[in-house]
Amino acid sequence: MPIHPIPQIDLGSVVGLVKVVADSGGREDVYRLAREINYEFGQILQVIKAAEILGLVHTPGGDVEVTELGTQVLRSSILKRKELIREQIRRLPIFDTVLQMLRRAEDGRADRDIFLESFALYLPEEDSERLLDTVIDWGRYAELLGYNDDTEEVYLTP
Amino acid sequence: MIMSPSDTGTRADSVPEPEPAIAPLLEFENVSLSYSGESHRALALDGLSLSIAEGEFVCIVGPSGCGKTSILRLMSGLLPPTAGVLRYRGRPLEGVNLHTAIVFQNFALLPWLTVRGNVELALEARGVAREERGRRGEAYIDKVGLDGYEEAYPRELSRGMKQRVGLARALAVEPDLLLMDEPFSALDALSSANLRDEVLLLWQDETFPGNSVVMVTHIVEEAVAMADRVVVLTSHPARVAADIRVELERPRNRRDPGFLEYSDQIFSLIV
Repeated sequence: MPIHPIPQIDLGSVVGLVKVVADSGGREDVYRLAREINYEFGQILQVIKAAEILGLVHTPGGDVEVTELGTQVLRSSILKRKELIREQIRRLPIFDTVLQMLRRAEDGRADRDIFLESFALYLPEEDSERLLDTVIDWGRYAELLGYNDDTEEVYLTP
Repeated sequence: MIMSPSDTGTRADSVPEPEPAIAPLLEFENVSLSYSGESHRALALDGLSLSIAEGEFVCIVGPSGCGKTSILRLMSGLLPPTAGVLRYRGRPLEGVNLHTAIVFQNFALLPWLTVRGNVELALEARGVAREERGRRGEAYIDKVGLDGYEEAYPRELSRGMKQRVGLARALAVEPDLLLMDEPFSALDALSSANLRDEVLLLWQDETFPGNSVVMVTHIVEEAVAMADRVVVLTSHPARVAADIRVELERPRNRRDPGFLEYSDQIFSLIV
């Protein structure tokens, strides 16, 4: 089963990055950007990576550049942004895997632990707790899945 | 600092000058506020006169500790002035101003309640019936882009998401005047760039309840990026040093020469 991790970054920062780069003329040197917004270099790389796998920026030769989709997101309403980003999230292999696991589960619900185990098995380098929290966060934003922290259950959004 | 609002036709663009309304939405006439200590009285605000028109986005800037937050508390009626008069739609303001709602710097969410619970609590406190609370809660959670997070607890949310909950909670009471107290200062540069943008999108949306906003900030560029008018305060005690109309079209870009001129002008008044 192919699982690629996703950067453990919240989507607000991702859209914020696109906004900041767009305001700088649509393309910016990564080092300059990190300095300007007072971000640690490793941290900004994670945000850029998240934006890149969502198709909002690409990274030609040490720069970060807003894509057409990124521009479209910035021009859209809050709800439309959510729709555009949802389509991107849905395509990520890790969501494919998680959603498949949920579809196979009884009532479309499964314990948190099941995902942690599977992440630990297939992505031993990752912090599975944090990765799952990010999957839940992005999944909620995209309205693909829900999570109940009282019962520690992940479920398919009806 | 990074900022500047995003695209979309704006209310301010289509109506550049605010209508000279019959009575301003909110008016401070010669308002003073002092705090009594054991041995002395400290004057926080000294003869402040200022008015907020319907539909305006006003930012109040000034040095830290200059009494900006006190002004919001006065506007919401949580604090009575020591001297002077506050008028709301031409009438003297007495007691809590139920036409306002506040977005706090530190979110002020109850950790044991979910997103839905936090938003609906504000409605419950104002005596909104259960069914209506559910309907309105859902509508505003959706409006700020939190659909899908209804069941989440604050501990599961990023700071940016927490502030969206704060925003949904304030908007759900459908205030005429939205008060925001340094709403982005607990966020990092990227989440705040995004949330500033979203607040402007909401404000420019015709279904935005009320549509008048007073926001307190100590970041000059934030004020220039967002406001129709910037009120600059002096400190100890606070007086109005300047009241500046920002005549820049939205979306504004902090790299535009006009933007820099406004920022410089305001900055020089503060230091």
